[in-house]
Amino acid sequence: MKWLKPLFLLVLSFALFYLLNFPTGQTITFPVGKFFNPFGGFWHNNVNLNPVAENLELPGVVDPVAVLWDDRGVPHIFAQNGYDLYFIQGYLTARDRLWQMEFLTYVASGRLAEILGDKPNIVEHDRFRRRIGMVYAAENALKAYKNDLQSQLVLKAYSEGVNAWIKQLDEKNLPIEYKILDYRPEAWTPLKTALVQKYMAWNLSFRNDELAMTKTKAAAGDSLMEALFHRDPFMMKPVIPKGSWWWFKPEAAPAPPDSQFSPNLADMAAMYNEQPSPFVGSNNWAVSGKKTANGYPILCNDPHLGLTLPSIWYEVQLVSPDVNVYGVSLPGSPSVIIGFNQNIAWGVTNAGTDVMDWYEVQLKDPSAREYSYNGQWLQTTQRLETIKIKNKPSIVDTVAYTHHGPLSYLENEAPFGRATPVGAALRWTAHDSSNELSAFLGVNRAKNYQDFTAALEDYDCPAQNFVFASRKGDIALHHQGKFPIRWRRQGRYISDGRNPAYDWSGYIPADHVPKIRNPRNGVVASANQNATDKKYKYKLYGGYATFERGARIYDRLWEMEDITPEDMMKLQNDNLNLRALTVLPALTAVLQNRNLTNAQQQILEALEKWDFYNERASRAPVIFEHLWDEVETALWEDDLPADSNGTLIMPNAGVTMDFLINDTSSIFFDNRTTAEREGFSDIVFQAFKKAHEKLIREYGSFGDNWQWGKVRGTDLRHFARVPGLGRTGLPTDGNYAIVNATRKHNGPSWRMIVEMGPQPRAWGIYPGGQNGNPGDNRFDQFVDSWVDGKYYELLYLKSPTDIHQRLVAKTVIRNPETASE
Amino acid sequence: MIISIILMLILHLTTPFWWWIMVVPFLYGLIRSRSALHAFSTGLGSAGLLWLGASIYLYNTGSALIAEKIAVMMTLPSPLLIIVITTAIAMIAGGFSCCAGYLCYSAFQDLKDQDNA
Repeated sequence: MKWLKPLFLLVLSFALFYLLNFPTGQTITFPVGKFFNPFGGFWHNNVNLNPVAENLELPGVVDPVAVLWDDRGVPHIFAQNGYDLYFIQGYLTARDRLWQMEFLTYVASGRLAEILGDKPNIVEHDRFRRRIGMVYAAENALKAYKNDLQSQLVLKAYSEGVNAWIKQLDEKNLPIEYKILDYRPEAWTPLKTALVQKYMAWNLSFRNDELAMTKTKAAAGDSLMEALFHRDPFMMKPVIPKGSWWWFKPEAAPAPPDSQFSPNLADMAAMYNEQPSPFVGSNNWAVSGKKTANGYPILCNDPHLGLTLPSIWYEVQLVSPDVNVYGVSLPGSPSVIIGFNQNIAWGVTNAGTDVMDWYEVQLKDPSAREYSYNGQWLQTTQRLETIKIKNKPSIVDTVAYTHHGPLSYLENEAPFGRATPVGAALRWTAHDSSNELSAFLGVNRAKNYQDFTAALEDYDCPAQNFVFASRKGDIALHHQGKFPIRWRRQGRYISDGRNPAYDWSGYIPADHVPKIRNPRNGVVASANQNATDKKYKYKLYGGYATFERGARIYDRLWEMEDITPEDMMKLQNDNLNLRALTVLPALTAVLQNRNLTNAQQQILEALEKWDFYNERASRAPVIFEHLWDEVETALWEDDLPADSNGTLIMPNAGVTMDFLINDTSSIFFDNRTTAEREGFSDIVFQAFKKAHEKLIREYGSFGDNWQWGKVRGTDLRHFARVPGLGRTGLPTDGNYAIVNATRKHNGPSWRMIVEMGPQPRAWGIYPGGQNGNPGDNRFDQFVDSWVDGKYYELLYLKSPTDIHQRLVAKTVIRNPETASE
Repeated sequence: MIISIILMLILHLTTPFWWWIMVVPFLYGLIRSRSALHAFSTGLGSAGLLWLGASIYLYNTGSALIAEKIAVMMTLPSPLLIIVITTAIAMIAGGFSCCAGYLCYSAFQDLKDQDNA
């Protein structure tokens, strides 16, 4: 019996050890003892982590590298050769953002279950990434890199730089997310860089409406599709202005199929929504020197992306004998993505042109080994995907590839993503072997428009509107990417995978893509809208933005003279709600004749007095947004009802506006589910009453709680959604379809303005901070200024010996073997 | 107790392992404790004091922000509770392991006595 007590205590101690040394549950993902240990756990992820050293010995660099740090934590890297430059870019990006860049590759390649364990959505997410061929796409990108010596060298240097950082990390210096989720970083590889790029390709180009369009057509018929979905875009000012002259003789378009294909619609959709947000958009523009106060061209860009902490961007200046470029980089990817050098500046917005099609595939049998094509049975290629799951056996998933691309989901499977059809193969330009890295390396070094154009020839996916301005005074805009040459409406609906007429047979040649250079009015601009009018000699389809942002920017730039960078800052932060300005007077006019309660009268007056600016203190924007939603629903819900698989596609907002302004007697205003014949005014009145009820329910009686900044606001969530590590409830202005396209979870991820004088001058800001450590004040250093629409002047240095009051530290990095010499 | 704290501090600073707050008190209990209660209280006190002191030191030298964020992450109302939890973990782990050490010692002692008898 004497052994009982010590035995009991021993068992208890071991149990305690076990509880503290291993993660205990779904919510506590970390080993408690290790995590709370003040000598190594989260306590160590504080403001003192990774101090800047004056001298650093680093095996791997060839020649000494000087890094100047400015007061915002931007490294200005001066290397004596290209290898060192990208080695140190990798090393320093990892220093500040290692967890983020690696986690992104886990997302991209469908490996989240390895970290997060067996949660149903996580495993299905991972399966989805494999099924759409993300790793396949990255592997194909590597093949293209292998054909280019410069890209290969840069990738190797960057990877080794990241790995040099990882190698010196000990347990206590791990970024906090590794401690919270209890895993360790792997070695970085060129494949991971390719995955980061393919993640962006997914984020920006993995979208189409084919499934919803096909379902809607089946339910509503051809004439409704014509009336609502194949219209000319409303009030559109395309990227390349109307009436532009297309000088080239186009390549012949393929012949359309003889008869229209009707896809098999059995069991076509699930309720998940895994398409990237359609509100991911952007603005960019440039004006020539004749429009500006100083006589120099000014270029502006604000890409709108999902906003997270850490931010998706990392600011850097990269200098070596053949390049001196400043801008933002994507952590995980070498080079600068948006920025400027001594001679040129450039920026991007998403092109939106459809570069992915779904093909219905007829299989010989459920093994998916053979499929029908052109009257024959062709073999599929089977690709095995191993999905590892934390603390569970792995799942091996087989994906069949047709010549179109991966057969993402078989007919009996439930897809992850509402827009993903079953029994269909995916043709997507992101799968093709292309070398976007080489394009960016070229653009970083471009001295003039010719260099810029030559560099872009390598650029395929995700298609972007590249805006350009040079010191020599050129401005230009290219709708750049690899676009299939389509017959009329090819790829608007799900295609027939058996019929070769549906295949992509060629691509728009690089010098035929829509572009404009030095227009007479001195303005080029894009805001995700249609690239061209119908006169363009190829068919482009896509999920383009409605006219508002593009038109507002164009109108303002057209009327502005003697433009200063400060004017451009105001324009990037412009909150005019052009949609409200366009439709609201027509809506309030019919409400005046109705019997309204006092409370309703009050909000109608607020709408009537509104100046149409979505500003944080204003209460009218929330009323308008609710009213708009209700009008849209009331107008279309009865014509395009939801079925058990979700809603049919709704016409875009441009179509709705067109009816509200130009066709108020349309039969569409009648609610088909009632016996009465409703008209425009009835629909608006009903919508207004509903909107009012909803507003009262959500925000109480009309008062300060209705202020736009409080109601909508912006949340910068942590990139892995760890609570407490983000910033929430930021009182922002703007909205979608407004130049300042700030929303709840998306918005201007980087605002940049560059004046291309003899010395480039530039301003920029992003909602985040350079430092990726949530325990450091610099983690969200720029956020409050970003909310207020402020900018920082960007420090463009010439030499490592430059002196500037905003430079706070210098690090000299040497190879220890040559350091003593 | 002082020896135990110093030993733990040195081991913590030189190695990445958190579990010195169990191993050292266990050994202390095995070698130096006089009674189960004495072992429990010295184990609890030494490990608790060390982690309390270290976390207060860190809190005041740059870790307040991360403590605040971890408190929000764990839906706790105050970052000071993070210090309390840190200390409590060390107290419990140190106390029980030290006690286990002492009881093992005394069981061996009894065994020896029996053999001698």
